[in-house]
Amino acid sequence: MDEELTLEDVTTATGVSFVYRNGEEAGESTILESLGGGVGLCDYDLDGRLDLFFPGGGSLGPDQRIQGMTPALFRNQGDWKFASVSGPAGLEQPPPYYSHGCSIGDYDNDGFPDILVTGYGGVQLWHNRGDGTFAEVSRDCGIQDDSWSTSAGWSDRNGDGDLDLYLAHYVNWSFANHPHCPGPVPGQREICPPRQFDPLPHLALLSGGDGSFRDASQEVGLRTDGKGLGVVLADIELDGDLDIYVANDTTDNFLYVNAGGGRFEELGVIRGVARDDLGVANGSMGVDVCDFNRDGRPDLWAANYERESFALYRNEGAGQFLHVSQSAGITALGGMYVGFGSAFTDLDGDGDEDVLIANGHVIKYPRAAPLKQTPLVLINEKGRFRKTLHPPSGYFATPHMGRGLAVGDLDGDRQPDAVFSHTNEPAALLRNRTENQNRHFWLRLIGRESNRDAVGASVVLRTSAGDLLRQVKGGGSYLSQSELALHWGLPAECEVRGATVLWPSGRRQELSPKDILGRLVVLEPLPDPVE
Amino acid sequence: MATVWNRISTLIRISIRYGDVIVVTLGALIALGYWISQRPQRHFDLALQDVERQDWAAVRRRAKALETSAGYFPHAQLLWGIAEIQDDQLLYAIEDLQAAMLHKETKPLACAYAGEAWFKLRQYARAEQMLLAAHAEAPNRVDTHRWLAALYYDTGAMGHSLVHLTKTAELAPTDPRPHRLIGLIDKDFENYEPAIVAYQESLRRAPQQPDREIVLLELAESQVRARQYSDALVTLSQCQESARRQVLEAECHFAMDGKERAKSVLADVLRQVPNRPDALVLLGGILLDEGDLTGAIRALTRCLAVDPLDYTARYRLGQAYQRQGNLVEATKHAKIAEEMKSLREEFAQLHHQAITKPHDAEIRYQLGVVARKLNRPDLAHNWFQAALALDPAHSAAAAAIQRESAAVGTGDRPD
Repeated sequence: MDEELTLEDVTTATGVSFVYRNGEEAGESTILESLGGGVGLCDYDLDGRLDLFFPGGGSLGPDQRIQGMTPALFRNQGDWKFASVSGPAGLEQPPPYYSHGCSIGDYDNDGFPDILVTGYGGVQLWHNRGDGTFAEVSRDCGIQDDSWSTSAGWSDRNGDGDLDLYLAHYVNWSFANHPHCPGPVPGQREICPPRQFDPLPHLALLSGGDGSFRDASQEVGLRTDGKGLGVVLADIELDGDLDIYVANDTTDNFLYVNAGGGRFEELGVIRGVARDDLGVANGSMGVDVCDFNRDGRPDLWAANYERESFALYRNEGAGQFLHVSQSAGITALGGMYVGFGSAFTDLDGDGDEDVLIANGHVIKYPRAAPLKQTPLVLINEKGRFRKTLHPPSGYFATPHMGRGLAVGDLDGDRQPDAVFSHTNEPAALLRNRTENQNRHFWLRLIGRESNRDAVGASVVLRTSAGDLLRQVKGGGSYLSQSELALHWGLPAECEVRGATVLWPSGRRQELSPKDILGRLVVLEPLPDPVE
Repeated sequence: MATVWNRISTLIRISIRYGDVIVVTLGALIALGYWISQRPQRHFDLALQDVERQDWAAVRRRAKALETSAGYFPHAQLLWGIAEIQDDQLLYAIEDLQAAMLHKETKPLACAYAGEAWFKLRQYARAEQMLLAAHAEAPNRVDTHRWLAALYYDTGAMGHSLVHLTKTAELAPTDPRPHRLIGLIDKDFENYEPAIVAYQESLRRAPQQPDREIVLLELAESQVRARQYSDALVTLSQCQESARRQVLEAECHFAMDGKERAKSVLADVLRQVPNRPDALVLLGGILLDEGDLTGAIRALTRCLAVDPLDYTARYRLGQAYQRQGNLVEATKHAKIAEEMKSLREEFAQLHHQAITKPHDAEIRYQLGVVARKLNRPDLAHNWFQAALALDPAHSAAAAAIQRESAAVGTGDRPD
């Protein structure tokens, strides 16, 4: 890596040995194989350390039978040692469907994170019992989704204090709709592009507050023409309620602006976040919300297909965005990458959010770009991004079939670490060993009137170098779940002057500089009895 | 009895004495006969060399000579056919070549040249039939691949065209043209990386080729689209000064953190060519990025005055008005942009179908119709021609071409 940034692949010594399987050995060349799987970070046993969850994927039998593969849960034992606990946790059975992604949220506000697993032909909701075990409760909760779900995101869309669920859906592929797409050489069969299939309507589930959910897609106002792969939920408009940004493959991306009362208006094209700077819809996969230029406004990111620049949409205020990948240096990366998992985080602690991207192709015989691709670390230098230099060996110099990506502080040293998932190759744990004088702060928000995970909250850290916005997001990246706690890096000479938390409930909370230490848990203040 | 024996033995002695002479004489006679019998073949071989040299007078002379040679009438007809193609006497040529096809030896070449003649008559189905027959007889004849490549290119069957261009390039290792066309096809299909490789190979084969300037600009454009900005600047530095070169340079500078330089280059272009659309669209984008909405609106409006169907300009103008808060103008331009987007998507979809259905005239006609709506009369014309070539009875395509011709005749394009 750059001399100022060190991300070391420590997977081998950690005991984490997991491979997401896509069933390609069946030779069916299905589009199902192209999506891959994600990774989730959460402290499922509340021991203060982030644990890892991986959806298992699936296999395609000789009779075109689609089967799920067993997921994996690894308990963080500290000091970069993990133990597989899938069996004891009750997760040892393969799901009855082909899995892709995970989204982790405390849907019942009991303090223990629960795990939703998406996929082709079903979803599972694993309720965390709080004793180290999980129970599959999707049917009991009224969650039925036999469609093809990819990324998902928890968030409180109607502000009632309970997490609702957004499930992005992809296309209408099945073995009954499995056209032959020729490869470059006669006799070869290629994976068909998404344009070959029709989009599936996405699903917006609304929590009843009692652990039950119902389909609210229609009342939310979901469009039915998006081939969804990524979703991120945050207060994008900074108006105190939650908005939804959906990455679609080859069709316009959606921006659902919260119109109140659980209703949303899709304004992606009008707001300038549906297409690229030429007005063309891209093949979008991974998404994130960030404030890359530190102007206090949430910006949007979408990782795209080869030949399409990754999209950075700068928030221009008044709800308008502009595709600024060219001026931000993103376009200069070239057109070789097929980008998936994406996560903005301040890796070097200089105050700017950098970005990590997992890359890898989706087809079997690509012409323009390699099948396996190197992941990217883009260092943010005052709003312009620069690709890091890395040594000729090591994780970032090696091509992978990158898909999922999640960031969080896995070792408690306060520097953000990362986990990448790949298709048919082991997942990788990257330890941030950057050595400099910069400081790192983490804030874990616990909602009491708001949803317990505080998804939708915004926090502005006031410093001598300016204000730094961070938001608690639902979804994000690709098929993955990052740590929910918020992170800031600050140069050593930078002085912290306080922070303001805007809770999803609308409550505003001020934190004094002396409160802001290395890692802080902030409880939402309860309403004053006089209030 | 003894006398008879004596005479025989005398003859044997004579034969032995003069045997060498007799053998030599007989041999010479046989060789002379063989040479006489092969004289037409020699003529024919030389005639083919004349064809290569494009010495058409010599070809005709030899064709005439062969007409009277026994068994060489088909050869003569082949040569006449070839010469007639050069004279643009295509139907006569086809007639002669058809006769030549009846002879085994002349069939491959007769088919190949008949294919060329049909191609020039825009009878693509017949041309393809002839060229494929020629290809079956002589798979490594480079000109057959050339014509097949051209035929498939003209009918929008680009995958097929690429196959024959690749073979042409292999059979003619010093010819820069196949790779240039491969580059163009890949560029048109936004396969920029393969396009770059092809253009570079074309330039390697013939660095000073007549189309060098165009090839360099197409290479640079591909590099810009593939976001290889540094390489593009190197390529552009080899190009002559032109507005196109400068606009591409400006795009590179903008992407490489040289916004001010990009603006300066664009200002220079627009001083020379005030309404150059690509310069105005790029300038509009840069000004939008800077938040200069008034400047962006001015540049994009100027662009649309020249080319009202420039989709990117329209899209960006809608965005600029939206950010300015002028919702009436924003909605107006967004609506037009949406209509254009639908047309572009329809065109792309039809184009894809045209590749997979190389003989479908209706798809090509529809491509012409959409191209006309997109204000691309040049493309529309080509697609109508392709439709008609594949199906001479396609009345709508014929009518479209007729309308175009009438419009050109009055100096007024239908678009």
